[in-house]
Amino acid sequence: MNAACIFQSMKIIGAGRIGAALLLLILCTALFAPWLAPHDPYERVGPPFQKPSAQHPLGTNDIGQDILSEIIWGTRVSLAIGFFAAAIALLLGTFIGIVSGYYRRWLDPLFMRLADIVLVIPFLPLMILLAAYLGPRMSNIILVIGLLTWAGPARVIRSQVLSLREYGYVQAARALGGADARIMFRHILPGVLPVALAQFIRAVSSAVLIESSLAFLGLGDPTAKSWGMVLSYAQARGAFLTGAWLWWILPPGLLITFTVLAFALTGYALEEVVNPRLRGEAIKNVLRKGGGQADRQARK
Amino acid sequence: MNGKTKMKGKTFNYASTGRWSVILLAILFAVTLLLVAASCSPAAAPADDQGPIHVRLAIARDEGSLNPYTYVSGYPGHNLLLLIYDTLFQLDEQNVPQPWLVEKYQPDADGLTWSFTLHKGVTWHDGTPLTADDVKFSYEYYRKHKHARWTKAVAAVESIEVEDELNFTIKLSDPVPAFMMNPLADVPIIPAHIWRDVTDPGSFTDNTGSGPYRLISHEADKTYKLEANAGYFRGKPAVDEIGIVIIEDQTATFTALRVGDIDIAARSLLPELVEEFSGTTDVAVVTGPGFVSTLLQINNEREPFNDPRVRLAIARAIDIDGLVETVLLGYGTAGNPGYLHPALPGYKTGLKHITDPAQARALLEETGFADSFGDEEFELLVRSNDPLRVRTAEIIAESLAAIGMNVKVKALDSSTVDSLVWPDFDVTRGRDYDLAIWGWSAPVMLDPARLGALFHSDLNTRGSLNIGAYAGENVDAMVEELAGTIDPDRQSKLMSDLQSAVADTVPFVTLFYPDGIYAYRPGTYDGWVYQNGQGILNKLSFVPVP
Repeated sequence: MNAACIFQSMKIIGAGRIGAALLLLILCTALFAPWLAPHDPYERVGPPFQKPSAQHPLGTNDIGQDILSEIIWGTRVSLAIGFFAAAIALLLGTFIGIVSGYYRRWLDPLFMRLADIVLVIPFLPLMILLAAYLGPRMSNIILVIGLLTWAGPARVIRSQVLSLREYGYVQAARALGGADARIMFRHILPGVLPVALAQFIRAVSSAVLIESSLAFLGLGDPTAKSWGMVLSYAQARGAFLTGAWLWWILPPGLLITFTVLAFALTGYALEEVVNPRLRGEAIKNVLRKGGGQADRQARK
Repeated sequence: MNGKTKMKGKTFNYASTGRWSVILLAILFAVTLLLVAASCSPAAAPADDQGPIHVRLAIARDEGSLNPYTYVSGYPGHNLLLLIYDTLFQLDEQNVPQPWLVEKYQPDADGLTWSFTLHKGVTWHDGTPLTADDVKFSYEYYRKHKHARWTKAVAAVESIEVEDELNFTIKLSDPVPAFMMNPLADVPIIPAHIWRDVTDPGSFTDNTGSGPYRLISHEADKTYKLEANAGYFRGKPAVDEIGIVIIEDQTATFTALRVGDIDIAARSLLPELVEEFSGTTDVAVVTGPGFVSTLLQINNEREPFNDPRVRLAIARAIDIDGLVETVLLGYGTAGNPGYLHPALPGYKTGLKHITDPAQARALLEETGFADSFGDEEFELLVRSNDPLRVRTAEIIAESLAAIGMNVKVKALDSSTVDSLVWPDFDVTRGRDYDLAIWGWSAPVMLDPARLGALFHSDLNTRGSLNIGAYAGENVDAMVEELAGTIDPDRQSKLMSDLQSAVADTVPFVTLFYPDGIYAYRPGTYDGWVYQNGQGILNKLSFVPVP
């Protein structure tokens, strides 16, 4: 049983390496977009609807902007939206997770029922409704995604807090009369950070996917060049009906796929490493060396 | 130990389903993309048979029960309505009104009394003869039961006197410059014997008309079926049956057309698809002028746009020929600075848009606003759901940046743009914008009375479409005179003067008029007639004008 567990863990961590490598590649693309992109994505560099050529490897879009450059710069926009939305979700999720795990009597039932509601409501329709109501601005899209994805992370973090609060050092801090806020901030928060990080990475991946869906449905900011927006314009300007889907729809589509894949693989591997409940007994000992602060404090 | 294992196994399984489902979804997404793309390759050949002609038409949304009070859209709803109902006059290909239900007509000298003789032998779909009483009833009904289009159109009709079954006289309270066009060629005649007791027309679904087609079935949000009226007074219509399907999605519509699931789409074809579609033998593409305008609307009340020189500078900065080439791929006409489409009879020849950024900069220098422009940021509003307009806005912002105006494109949903530019569709409610990409539908272009509404400075009365609160010297007087003029020479003189005045003072920048581009399958039916500004979905495509 142990052997199987180790094997399972190794497989996941191996996949995580692939994910991390992909992730690095995508992050580099975003970071070095100005140097990688052959043209300014907002500049009209050729006639509209050009087929791929040496000058424009993926052709030009409906007003003559270089599609390759659009997609390279789109990495920035898509990732930025992903990161900011995930940050909002995680800040909210971590706060609610810690508070409701700590104040079990009053706030816990309230917050967790709220989380249940958010988790149970059909996700995409609500998202579309909110995005349509708030209007197509980048900040609104980030807000909408953030506000609707905190519930999952909050539950995971709460469950971590539930076990942390019973640890000796937390009990001791309480017995010594430490203020609740201080205990939560100084003693519990460091213990949930690794889990939060894994959750964050997963949240980025889903935020990128959601942003693309909303943009494709015409609910994104049409002036921001994200991958979803490139897809949206391609669809609106008939790329599915001409041969243009090959260079206008497929590349951003594949990039979205790879990005989600990269984040997902990295996130799961990281979760495997930091979440004690998912960890095999044997590998736990190996990994404990680099494990969370909470574990070390617990052993003291 | 046993219990522990079990619990652990459970945890692991739960986690692993969540774990792989996202990856699976990502892969599914990629596969779907490929499949969708692959399924779009062209296929199918037309079925060739000599027999009754059956045309399948795709429209974008449901049009109610297609009677004068339940149809929904101006296009194609109004066009379909007029296949079922008739009007006294009918616009021909060039939008010149020709007698239709009437055989003879005679206005008196001051244009206030018109006498008509109806065509003999016209019957309703149920066999009852159509008489002058029906005409009188219809006009009075529209006046009594409010409708957005008809009630306003018949407002100037004071009384209708019926002499006998075929002869009647219409008396007007004020002269109406384009009386034959609107209301006579616009307002459908309804059967008195059916509508007499109807007090709530909004929920009345009968559609017995006198037109070339009868509606024989309607399945809400799905299909309509129109059958040719074999006893039509102008001869049996060319197409025996029109099956209408509702396809909301644009891509799906044109895919259906290409594979032969439909024979014609009411929706205008995207310019980028013309080459693709006209390259095949199954599908033909016809293009013609469109009277829908696309404008750069300017808030004339707000600084610095209240200075006509600033507005002129904006117009000079924009390369509208370039816009037509880039955004419409050449399938459109560059805007006349006097607003009217060059294909219309009232167009003042010789008025041309001038692109001259250097002069634009000079004008801005002259006004003294140029220095403060660097710090100020203006907003250009545009509907986010219209990719062509968003692109237009982006290009205009670029052009204005070149003359030193800092303009930011702000894409909002269409109702928000409407509420900022034209709150409650009432110009007296004020306005809250700097610049906006705007457009008016074809009727605003066709009817001289409505044209005046764009420019008259009295927002409470005549200037009901003046959304930029524009006020031009002498323009009000011209609009007022135009409204009461029925002499064609004087009318065209006034129209020319008005266009020149507008071109000089720039209430807005007329950017372009997109062409109508329609694709159909000629193998099924090839008799389509392009009516300027209206497209091929009209009565003329089925019944010839005398």
